[in-house]
Amino acid sequence: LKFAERYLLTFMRVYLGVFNVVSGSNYFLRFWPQPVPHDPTGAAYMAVTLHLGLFQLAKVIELVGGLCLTFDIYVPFALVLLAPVTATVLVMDTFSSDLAHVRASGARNFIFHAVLFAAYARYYFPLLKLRAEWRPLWRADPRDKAADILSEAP
Amino acid sequence: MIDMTNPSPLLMTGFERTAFIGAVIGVVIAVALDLWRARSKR
Repeated sequence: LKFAERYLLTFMRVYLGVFNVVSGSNYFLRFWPQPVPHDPTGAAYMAVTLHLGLFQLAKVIELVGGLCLTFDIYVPFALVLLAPVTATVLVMDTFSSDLAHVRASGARNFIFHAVLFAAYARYYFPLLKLRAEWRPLWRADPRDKAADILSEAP
Repeated sequence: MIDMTNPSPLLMTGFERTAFIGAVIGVVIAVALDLWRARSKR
């Protein structure tokens, strides 16, 4: 069962990764014509995000996050990076499109993303600090000092 | 995002076929690595 789990999660990770790499790089390289939403709200949303440069940013995020997922690099970070893209695609595809295969595509990517989040969940638990102390970049970290003292101890 | 204008799923299959092939290659590599590790342990 552990083997099946491992291969199933590998499948989902690489699928989501390659999908994002292809979607991101297609904007810049145009293997296929750039997809345009069918409904007027979706088309207007795409036009506005293109005008603001947010669409281009999303494509760069897809490319970077997708490469990370594909090659198993910084996966927990890549999942966070890609979460807004997957959520937007879910809304645009699954809830706005009238084409069945488009709806299925957005929903499937969202489900894969959610399962991967669950699979890597323990990496995010340290973020759930109710009262987080400052640990700024511009000051030495007291925890590092403590670690130094411990490592120097005989 | 995938094609939303063309009901023929040509573009969608382009995106999704690539992702599917990539995922299958990923799993094959994972299986091969596991087998290789198991053999080298013996």
